Amino acid sequence: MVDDPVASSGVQGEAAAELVLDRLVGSELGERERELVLAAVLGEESLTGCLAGDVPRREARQDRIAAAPPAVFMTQIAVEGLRGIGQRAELGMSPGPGLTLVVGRNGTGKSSFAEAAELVLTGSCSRWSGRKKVWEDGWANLHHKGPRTAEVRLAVEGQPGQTLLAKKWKPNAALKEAEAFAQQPGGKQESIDVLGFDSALTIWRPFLSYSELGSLLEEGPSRLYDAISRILGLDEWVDGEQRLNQVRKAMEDDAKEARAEGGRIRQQLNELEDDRAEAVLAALPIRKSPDLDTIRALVAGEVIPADTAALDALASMSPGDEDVVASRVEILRLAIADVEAVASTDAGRARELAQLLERAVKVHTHLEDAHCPVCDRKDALDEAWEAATKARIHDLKEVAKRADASARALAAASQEARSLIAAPPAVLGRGAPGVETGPLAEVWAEWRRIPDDPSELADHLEKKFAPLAQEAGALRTAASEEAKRRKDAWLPIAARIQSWVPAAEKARSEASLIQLLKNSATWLAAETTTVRNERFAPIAKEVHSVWEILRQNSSVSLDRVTLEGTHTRRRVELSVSVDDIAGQAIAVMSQGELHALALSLFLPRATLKESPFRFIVIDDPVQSMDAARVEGLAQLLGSAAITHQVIVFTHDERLREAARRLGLPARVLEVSRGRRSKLSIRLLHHPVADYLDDARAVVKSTELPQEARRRVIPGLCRNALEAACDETAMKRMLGKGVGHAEAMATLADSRTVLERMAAGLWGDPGKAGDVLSHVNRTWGRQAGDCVQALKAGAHKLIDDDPLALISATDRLANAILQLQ
Amino acid sequence: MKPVELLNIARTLTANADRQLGGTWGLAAALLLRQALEDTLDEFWVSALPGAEACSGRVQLICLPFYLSDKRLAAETASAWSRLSTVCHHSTVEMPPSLVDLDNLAATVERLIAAVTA
Repeated sequence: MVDDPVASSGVQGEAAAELVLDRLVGSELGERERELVLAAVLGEESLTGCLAGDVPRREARQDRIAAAPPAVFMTQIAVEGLRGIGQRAELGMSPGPGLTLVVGRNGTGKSSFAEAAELVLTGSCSRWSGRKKVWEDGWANLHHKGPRTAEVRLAVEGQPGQTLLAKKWKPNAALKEAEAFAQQPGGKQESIDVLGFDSALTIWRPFLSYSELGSLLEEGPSRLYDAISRILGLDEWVDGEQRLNQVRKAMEDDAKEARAEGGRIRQQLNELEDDRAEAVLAALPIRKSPDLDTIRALVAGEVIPADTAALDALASMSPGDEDVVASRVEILRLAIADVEAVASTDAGRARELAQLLERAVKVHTHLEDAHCPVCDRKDALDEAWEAATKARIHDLKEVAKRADASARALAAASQEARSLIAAPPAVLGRGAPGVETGPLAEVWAEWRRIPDDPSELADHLEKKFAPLAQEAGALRTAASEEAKRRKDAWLPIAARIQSWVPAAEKARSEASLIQLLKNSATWLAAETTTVRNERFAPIAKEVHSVWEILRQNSSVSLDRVTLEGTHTRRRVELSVSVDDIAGQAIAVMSQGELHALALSLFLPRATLKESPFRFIVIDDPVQSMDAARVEGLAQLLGSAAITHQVIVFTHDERLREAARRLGLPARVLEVSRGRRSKLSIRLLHHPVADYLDDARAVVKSTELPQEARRRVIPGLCRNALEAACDETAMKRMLGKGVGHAEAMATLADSRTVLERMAAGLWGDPGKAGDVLSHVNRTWGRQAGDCVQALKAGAHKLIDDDPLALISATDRLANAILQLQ
Repeated sequence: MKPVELLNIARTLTANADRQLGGTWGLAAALLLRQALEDTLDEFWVSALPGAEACSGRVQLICLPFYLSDKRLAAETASAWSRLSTVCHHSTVEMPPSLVDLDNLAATVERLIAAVTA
């Protein structure tokens, strides 16, 4: 995701995750909760992935874990055609720590420089944006017709040369239509984003204007909180906590909705007379979790409760088919008729007679005697008799056989007919809701009273089936109507339940996750508060000490500065007391005090060592401050100038006077305005000039004995020379790309005047031994003698003429200042 | 001028925080105090260890506790001398000395003068 528009927030995310990991080590959270915390801090995407089961990973993306932007000093602000500035005007500054005062009457256009710098670096200007339209319209200088420009040149740590940041407008372009670009030394124009300042600018914002001073405290406690808490770098944690809470809230809402829908379904089910509804209700208890598997099976019809099953059975039961019954009856009757027909021939007697005759034939064959032993007639049993008898036997047997067949056929027909008379279905005995089964049961019982006699059986079938079929038909109709009625009521609610089940299932599966999310968010919130307070403590202390300097004779003392509350209730608590009575800052402070307090909050923030900006720009801080407080302010700015390039725009002479009075080395640039918005800028004061001016004042001073004057002057001159060397050394080292810390350490390491000169001449204090010969060669013996005199004269009374010494120092110091 | 005179002028400067001299008073007072201190030490060595006054300040301060009976004063002198050396230089890394600072330094110099001239 190299093209992420806010890549820097990714860096913060990674860094935040790193820190979260450290804190997680000792926590009591479980594995899953830890994963959630980490994923939430890493971002929306990670959290979504983690919820889906991914284990969050901090991928070491080199493009993201870029180093913090390098430290920068400002070397120039140039403006053309903006606000109070017509023709191009350049405000040059000496890169490196130190105090620069830009003075000028109101309306000279000096603030335009501050605003232009802010506009170029941050893309907007707090004084212009959110203002009335007249501000937005008034950005352009009226006297200026051509293109408009705002430029800032920076000395970027570790880079030789200067980096240009610019905004350019074509003639008649609107404020927003600027072309913005950055240009590194020897490079081409590119997007300002490449410098990676965006997030740093929001966090540390090294610009403070008078109007912002007023609003910093008045625009509500949460805005101040945001401004301060941003530097604490815990945005990702706060966002992470919010992400966890949002996800949990969404889940809880879903679960709540599922529960509510469950309740509504329960209510609807209660109104339903249906055993399916009862079964679902049983699986959906009021306070316990629902038995979703049972519910799903019921709704899908995979499980059918008894009543519904009974109705279904009744709706489909039948005592038999009328045609089948009729045909069986017919068959039965035919069989009966056949048997009756055969019965007249007396099949039994025919079989006995046939047996008798067979025995007679056998006897006759044995004896071969024609005498009949029965009727005692001679010759009765002759051959003719035998033949006739055999024929008769055959006939008799035929008769008997046929009679047997008829009897069997009747038995079979009776059996078939009986089989039609089935036992009543079990459901008939059990009954079903909404239908009357009694009448059918009675008819069916009658139907089951089966007569033995085939003819009676035939009659039974014929007479009893029709009423049975009719009764059964009626019950079937009633049952299916009842089943349909129930189904019509059931189906819509079944559909509703069906669509509710997945939601309920989701809620069931997320119930434990919600608890985990809650634990994770609680942990993260608590850690955020802890870490925030840890980080804020030194700043609060700093704010406090800044206020102690600024308050001067104010009766308001600042007791505590704390970050309180979270989310919409976040605020910066400024507890103050007036003559030992506690109160809230905003209520008890005068305008001047509020400005001083705002400055107390701004300075520690803007000068944190984590900030890449080694400059701070303050526009008009002195307004509505009384004299004593201006003195405090000067002192404060002087301390800030030890580590930072402090650029203060002011129309008030008092700040400059206070700085002089306190002996603060400051560069003072005076801006004055000629015709047609043409600005002239001149260096009014410079530490070098100030020391020499002081030396000249001492020469003329009548209050000091002459010897004391002569003892003091070489020291002042030496300081002038050192100031020139320091400025040149800084310029030189930064210009070569030496790191700021290293450059400042080199200056701090240079103690003697010769070391300071070596640093100024070559950026190397170690070459102190070469200084004198170099000075003699380059600027003549007089210059070398001057250095010697300064070296000795700071300690001892020397014979040199003070004025001559001052002049010689002036020449040498300025020559060194001119060095490139 | 004797060290005590230089000390007194430095005190006058800080007492009046002379407006005429602009921001110079603090620096001027520090310069005078340092010279008062160094001159006093020179004077001390002439009687205590002739030749030591020609040595570097560092060597002088290392030797001082062995020759000055008030060891605590010797340590204070070393610290005051080092502080004065720092504030007498132009500095981009330090604030100018405060009045309280200068008063304390003056007190040390005064004790040293008293001890040496006693």
